Amino acid sequence: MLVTSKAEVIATRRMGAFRHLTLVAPQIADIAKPGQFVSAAVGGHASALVGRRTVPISNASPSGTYGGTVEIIVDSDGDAGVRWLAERRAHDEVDLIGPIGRPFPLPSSAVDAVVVGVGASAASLSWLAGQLRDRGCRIDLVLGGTDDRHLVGVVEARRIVGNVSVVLPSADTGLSEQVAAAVRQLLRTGEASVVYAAGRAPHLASVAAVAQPFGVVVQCCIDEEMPCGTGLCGSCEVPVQSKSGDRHSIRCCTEGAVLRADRVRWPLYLQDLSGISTVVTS
Amino acid sequence: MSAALDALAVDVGGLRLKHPVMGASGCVAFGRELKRLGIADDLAAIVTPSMTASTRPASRRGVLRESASGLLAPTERPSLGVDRLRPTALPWDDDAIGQVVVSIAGTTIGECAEVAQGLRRNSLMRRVAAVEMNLACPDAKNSGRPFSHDEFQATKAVARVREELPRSVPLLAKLSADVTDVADIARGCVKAGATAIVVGSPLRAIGRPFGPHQHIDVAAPSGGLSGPAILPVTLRAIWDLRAAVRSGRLAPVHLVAVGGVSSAADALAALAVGATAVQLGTALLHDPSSARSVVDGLSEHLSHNGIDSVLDLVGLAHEG
Repeated sequence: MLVTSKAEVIATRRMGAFRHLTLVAPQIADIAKPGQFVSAAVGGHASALVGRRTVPISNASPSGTYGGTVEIIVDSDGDAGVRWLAERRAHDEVDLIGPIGRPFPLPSSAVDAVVVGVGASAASLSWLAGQLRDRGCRIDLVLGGTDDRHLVGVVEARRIVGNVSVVLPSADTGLSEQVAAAVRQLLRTGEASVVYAAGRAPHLASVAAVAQPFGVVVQCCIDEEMPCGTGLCGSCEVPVQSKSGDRHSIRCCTEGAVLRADRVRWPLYLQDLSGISTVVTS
Repeated sequence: MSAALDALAVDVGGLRLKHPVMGASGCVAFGRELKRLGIADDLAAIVTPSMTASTRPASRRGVLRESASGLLAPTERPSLGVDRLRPTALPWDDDAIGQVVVSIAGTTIGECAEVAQGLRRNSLMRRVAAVEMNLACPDAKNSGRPFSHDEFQATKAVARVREELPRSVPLLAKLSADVTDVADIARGCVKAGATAIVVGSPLRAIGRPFGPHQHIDVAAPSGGLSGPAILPVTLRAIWDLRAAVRSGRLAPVHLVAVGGVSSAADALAALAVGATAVQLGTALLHDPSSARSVVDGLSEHLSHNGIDSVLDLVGLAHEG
């Protein structure tokens, strides 16, 4: 079920390059789970911004002093719409739709898990890690960012999980490779049977490729541009194949955003993402 | 039906609507998403994505790009083929979804006719309240020039589709606003059997990301611009068509405005220049509750000004 809500911002704080917003949205908070998103109309009524911005829910509290709240983390260095969200202050109103998509499936028994996320996409991972820990899972957490200002929730994660690795790009190795190397190391030395990953497609493709030889299930939460967040526009398509081998596309907002990595046709997906525009100058 | 709803009821070329607000093709899917959002009842009718003769996957991902007050959508979108329709399991088969207008498209006149024929055969016209012919598609036999840019080809295509559909089914011809004289093209379509004219399709455009960027990247030139940015173009096209009807250049025909309508004030402007109904597209993507606010706004305007029927507003701007 999707809920539309005029959500009031009740708290905002800085987290490195990000802003952490707490919004009163009781109906969304009641049913939201880690891995789900909210879609926000940005820019206000007189804005030239027509598309919505869909961001992961970093936490939801069904009951609180102000009623149920959802929390989101947005990048102050993001595009105009995301920046508008980051600039919201207490008592501002934001038009939200949520919770969007399918949440991370949780194991029915205690297993070892690697949880990995990059940038603002990693917003919900501390929440997820808390739920895994409550089920008795042993967790290794990997958080990546383009620089130390773009790391989400390291302090909170360390409160919940004993082993948190922080990954930044080096002079000669990109972030995706560094994240993949950290995951490979954990899979080699540990006994994880599931990887939970959140990020943009290139990062997730790297994690999926690393985990594949280990035979580990990868549940990935694809942080994709979703201009409506409701399935109406069909713009957030991800190419997948079913168990029977049928190839088709699904809408990330309605049938994702959490998918088993082995269902996604990563090369085609990455090719589609890179092929939508031609850079004519820089 | 309450008096308030009676005041909003309109007839668009034989398509009877409880109020003048419809959902535009490509922005409401087949209606199920509207149901999930609890707003399926807010629209008097939905227009399905354009259906083709056989299912057509997109050769590349169809990403929407933002531009100032608009969205740029790729022209090439995947489509459901009418050959996949089963009369007992239609994609829009849900009682909660109101009237369904099926949009059809083809790349040749023969294919347009084939789509209409397939629609009739494979849906038995069940739940098909009307057919909207998307004439903005490139005509493969006319160097890729859209049907809606060529009076002769548009007329022929509408005539062939009309032959394939029962006479009782209203046929809406969807034209482009970015032509030299939209009334010329509309005249041919009406002669060929269109019962209403929908104007316009997204404007052909090339996109670049909105806002300052280090890289200037340009989307493929097969995009169509929609959203509030094109409302003035839509209003102008409706004005021209209404003026053509008044001067006798165009036979009396109902007009539907689509392109940039996002508020009750926009809808009132569209009615004033000559539209009998409006379709919401980008507005629904930005705010799915906009359908309700447009209908409420229209209703409020009528009661506030003591107007008995929304039809009294149609073409008012031409009276002055």
